[in-house]
Amino acid sequence: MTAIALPYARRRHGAALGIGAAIIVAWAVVAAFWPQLVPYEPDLLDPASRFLPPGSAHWLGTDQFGRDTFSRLLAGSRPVLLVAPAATALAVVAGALVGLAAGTYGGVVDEIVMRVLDAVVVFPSIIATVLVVALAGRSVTVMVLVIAASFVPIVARSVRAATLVEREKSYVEAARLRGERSWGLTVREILPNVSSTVIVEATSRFGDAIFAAATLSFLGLGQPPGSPDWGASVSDNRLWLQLAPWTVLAPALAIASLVVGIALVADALRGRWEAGRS
Amino acid sequence: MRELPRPFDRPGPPVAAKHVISAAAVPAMTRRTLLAGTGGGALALLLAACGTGDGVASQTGADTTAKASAPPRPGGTLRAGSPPPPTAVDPVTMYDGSAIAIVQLVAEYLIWLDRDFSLKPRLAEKWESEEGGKRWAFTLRQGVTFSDGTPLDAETVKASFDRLLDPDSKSAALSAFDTVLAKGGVSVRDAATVVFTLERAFSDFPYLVSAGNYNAVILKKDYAGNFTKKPIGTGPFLLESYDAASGATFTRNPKYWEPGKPYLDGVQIKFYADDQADLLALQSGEIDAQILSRPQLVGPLKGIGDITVDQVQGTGLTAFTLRTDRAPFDRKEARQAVAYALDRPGVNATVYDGIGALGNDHLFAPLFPAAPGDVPQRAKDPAKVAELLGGQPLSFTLTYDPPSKDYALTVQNQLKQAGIQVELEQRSSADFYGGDQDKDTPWLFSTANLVGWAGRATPSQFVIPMVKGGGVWNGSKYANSALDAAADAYDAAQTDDERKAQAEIIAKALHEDVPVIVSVWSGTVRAYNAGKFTGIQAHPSSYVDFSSVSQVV
Repeated sequence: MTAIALPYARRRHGAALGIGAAIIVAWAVVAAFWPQLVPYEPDLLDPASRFLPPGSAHWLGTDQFGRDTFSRLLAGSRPVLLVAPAATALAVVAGALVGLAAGTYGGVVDEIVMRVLDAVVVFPSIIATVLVVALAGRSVTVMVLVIAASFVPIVARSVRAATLVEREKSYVEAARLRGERSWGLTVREILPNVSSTVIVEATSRFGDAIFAAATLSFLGLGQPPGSPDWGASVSDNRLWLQLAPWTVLAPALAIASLVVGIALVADALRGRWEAGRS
Repeated sequence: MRELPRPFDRPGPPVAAKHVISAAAVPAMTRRTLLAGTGGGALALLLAACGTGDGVASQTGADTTAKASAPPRPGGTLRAGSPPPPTAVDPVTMYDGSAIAIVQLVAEYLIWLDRDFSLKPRLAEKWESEEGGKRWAFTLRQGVTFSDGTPLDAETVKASFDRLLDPDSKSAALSAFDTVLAKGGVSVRDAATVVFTLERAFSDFPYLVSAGNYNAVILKKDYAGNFTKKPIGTGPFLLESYDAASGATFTRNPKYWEPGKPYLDGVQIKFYADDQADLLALQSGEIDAQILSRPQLVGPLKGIGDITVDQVQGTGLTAFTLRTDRAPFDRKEARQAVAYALDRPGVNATVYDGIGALGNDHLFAPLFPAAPGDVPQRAKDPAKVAELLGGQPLSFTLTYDPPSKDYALTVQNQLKQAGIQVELEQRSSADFYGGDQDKDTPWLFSTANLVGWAGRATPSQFVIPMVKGGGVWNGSKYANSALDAAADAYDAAQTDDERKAQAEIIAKALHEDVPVIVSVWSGTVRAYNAGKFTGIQAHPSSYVDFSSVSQVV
């Protein structure tokens, strides 16, 4: 990157970071305070108001039950913003620990860990999810666990790769010569230097988790029936796509906006990290 | 359409009357004429209200009055959309609407169940009861041949019913004949007469050999379960090709027994796995009609272009079953409170697009001629709910499978407004209807559940299994000896007055005790392009009779 390009790239990354963060924060605020923001009770049925198009009474129209689409859109942000961050955090912590261990110890430990992760990766995640939900039942906890489990190998591989690079560096060798034990060395010396990888992974996986949560709900494997969850709303209303497109477009665009916001943040963080390295 | 509970019960008392119904005398045999023949005059008044007029069916959309009255224009191929059958198309085991439609184009019943629940002679020209309704003789139409040239005779009809009554055949009709007709009960009197000897008197027996028992089509003696490969029947069309993924094509049967029919040269059924795709195909002109229309989807098409939506009342229902032997519904007041908390017009509008008929917590649909009219219609009454609950909170878990999801959400919301908390437990259909049928299957053993029942030809097909003591599908575990006696007497009744009297006893008991909440009786619709074809009609069970369909002149 040239000296001229660098400030431009920083400005671009800064703008992306700002826009992305604003979108995420806005939805987070909605998720936290939707009961104070909704014009109607999201679950309130009104047979006389079925399939009303967007208007002054119902800004985003109504669905087949006469429920207010705008109110359900706001209320639907909470399930997504509960599941996705929790699943991401769990996946990043577990994946980072596994990746650090594999990268630091190497040898047999690395071989075993990587082969296990390979086995997990090749098993279709959707089939695994269906199996788990069938056995454990449908709940937020199950959603978080299955999404996190599917992301752990991805995070672990990235962190392992970064760890393999870092452990060959002289500061690690110096620490070893000082007599630091493997785990202390990993936590104190390597982890801080792979933290940027972890952060970029976290933001990337966060976007994926939004999609995964929406997909599970769309397939009926996530939230309970009647939930305003966005994925479930798209699934419930797709039959009426031609008759009442607003009932599908609103939650679909909400999912898209949140994923775009997260992608902007992830892209900006990755850009800054790469710029810092260069 | 899933296979759902069918009849019946123990032998009833013998009856003395003998009645004869002749197709020659009555071209279109209806339940009205059937029972009038037994001496029941009052039923005519009842049926006047339940006939084929506006009270039963209506047609909305393009103005087809002039077109419909024109003489039929022969020729043309009708293209109809339908979901792909979930299993092999076999008349003996079929249970879904698409398979039934395919079979009904090719094969026929002794009697056709028309859209107003009248019985119309088909392969049987007349039928009569003997020994007080314990034996029934059917006289076959002469000159009918199968599409391969084999003549129809009594032995063939006997073979068809022997097959349906054989437990080894995995016949889907076995439950319909349970306790009424057993294996070995069919005999041949002469080449044109088949005799059914019942296990008990049953005055509605013709309905069980009609299309109302959709598996009861007449097939050749050597039928071996390969219907789509060797599709031989007496019906108006010949199955030319069948592909489980794409659809089926049919051509006119030149040997069809009814002169001049069918008017069409052929029929093509195209499979659409998605309802939206089926609807878009109709709108775009890719198909001319739907076999299984959904009211909420086709409702908005009414009056747009040439698309017409024909609708008819039905006898299907979603049974909201409450366990009467388990808290909280072991208290009658709790059951009644739930019934009074429901906004039935709201359920009808939300779940059935407003085409259903309000239910009154008994099992006599308005379409059934014996439906009692003097049971006050139950309506939402918050004050009554509060009085019945007496300040005690009421909460329960409602178990159901995906097809009842909309109903469940509606019920949950309505009861919440009345202060009754409902937790929804959605199971997969396999799970909901699975498990040990005598011990723990959710649809028969959960505290409260929703079960979708396809339409039935007679009320006994609901009453006997669903609420009679020891009924095979008595999910409420309801027991009422007075109702049991009335149910037996209803089946054996020979006059409409007697039948109505028993129906009233049953209906009032159910209305009072509320083992099952029936909030709406479903209606059915069929959408088609009235600019191209005429004669297409909705049917309470979504059955198909395209023999009278013709191109618009």
